[in-house]
Amino acid sequence: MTFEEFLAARLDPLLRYAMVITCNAHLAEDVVQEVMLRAQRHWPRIAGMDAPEQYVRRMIVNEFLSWRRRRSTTSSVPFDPVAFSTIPASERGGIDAVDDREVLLQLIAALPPRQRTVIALKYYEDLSDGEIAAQLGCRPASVRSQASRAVAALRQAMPRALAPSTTRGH
Amino acid sequence: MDTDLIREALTLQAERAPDSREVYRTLRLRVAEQDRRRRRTRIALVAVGAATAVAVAPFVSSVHWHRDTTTVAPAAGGGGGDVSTTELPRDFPLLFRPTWLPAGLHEASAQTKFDKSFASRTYVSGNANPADPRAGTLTVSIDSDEPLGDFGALSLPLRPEDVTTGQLESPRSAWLNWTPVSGVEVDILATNLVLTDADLEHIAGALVADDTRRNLPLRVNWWPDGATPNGATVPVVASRSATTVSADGLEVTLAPGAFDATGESLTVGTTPARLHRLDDGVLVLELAHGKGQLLRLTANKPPNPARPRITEVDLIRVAQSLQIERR
Repeated sequence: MTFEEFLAARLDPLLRYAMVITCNAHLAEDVVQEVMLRAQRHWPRIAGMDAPEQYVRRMIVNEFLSWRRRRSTTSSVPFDPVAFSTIPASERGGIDAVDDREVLLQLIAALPPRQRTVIALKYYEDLSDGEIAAQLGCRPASVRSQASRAVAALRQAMPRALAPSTTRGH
Repeated sequence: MDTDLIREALTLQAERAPDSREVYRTLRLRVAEQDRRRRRTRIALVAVGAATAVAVAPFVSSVHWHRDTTTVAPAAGGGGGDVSTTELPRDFPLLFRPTWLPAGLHEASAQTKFDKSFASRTYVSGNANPADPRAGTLTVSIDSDEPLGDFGALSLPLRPEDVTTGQLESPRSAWLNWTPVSGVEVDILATNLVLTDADLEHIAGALVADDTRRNLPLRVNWWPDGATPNGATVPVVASRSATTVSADGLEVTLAPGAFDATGESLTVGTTPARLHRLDDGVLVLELAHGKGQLLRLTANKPPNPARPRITEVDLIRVAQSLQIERR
């Protein structure tokens, strides 16, 4: 497969993948563009790999994590579930009817980048701990630990962030 | 928490990805620009290889030889009396070294550029003269947008997406380009050597910082107007290869070589010299330095056409200002 063919066929899923990891459309585009430019330069080598797309996805993860390191001062304002939960339901206007998924996305976006990446790889890509470890260059135990902490943080935040009456699927 | 909710949320997030058709259009433009840039880089690399091959080759056949004899008295005010405002450093940092090289290679010289963050080291095969165009040579260079600091970038692993390798036909060469971080380029060029991509990657992966400084034994104390010194090359063994200080439009080289009888015969101070005028206006002044060494001053066309060309009087004045450290 030529680079051009790969780009035409796989750009859309790669952008979606980057969107899930970065939680930011502009950042997702920047990360994918940088990665694809690098991939194009070295395409003969990448195309010769067993799973070129998997390799490109790993490049996206690495680019995002290094991007975060390089631009650590430009992080977005995190969602504060504690502050949100202290607002009386009567003062939230229509927010009581908030889609749980939206709240959860803000919570995920506020996770440390590595935890966020683990969550994305585990629940969006359905990768095993071992596969995630291979992507991130760490041990499976470290993946389990990151995932466990991330899910615990989300579990802790969701009941406090949403009124008990809130139901899913709005 | 139901992990299905996490999956649903992430799927919702994925649906908010940028429009791939827009990104595709932008990417195709950027890829085309990248291709153009890399073609230029490759052409420049070929030029480096060719320049290495002809570095001290005999003068080309288009030289007009003049056999009349002239004696030039030292120019008034010359002889190093006017010290240029651009002081050359007395030494320069090597900045890096490879901790692994293919067997049989020995360091020949190191190069620096005064006006930017650039360092280069050249190795030759066996006892070959690095100036011999048939010699096996390996040049490792680092070029950075920013001042080269602690070289932490060199400790980064070679990711395939950051490395490009290739082969050139003439002269037979293998090259590697590595961008460990944005703005830092590592180039390795092997000429007349049988090296694989794996060899070049092994060399790149074995680069470490080196704070050793190398002495610059050639001092130029007067420069023509506009000829700002910009770089130097210093050999490991002076008797084997050239020491060069270069400026815009001017190059001063101390190299092994025999003083021949061609060109205009001059005497600069008390030193016998020869002046060669090449067809394209290039002037070459050669002075015998003893011990089989030849001092060669080359005035090329200045990069800025508005600047006056360097004249033979300028060359003589530069020669008079030279100081060569005895080793």
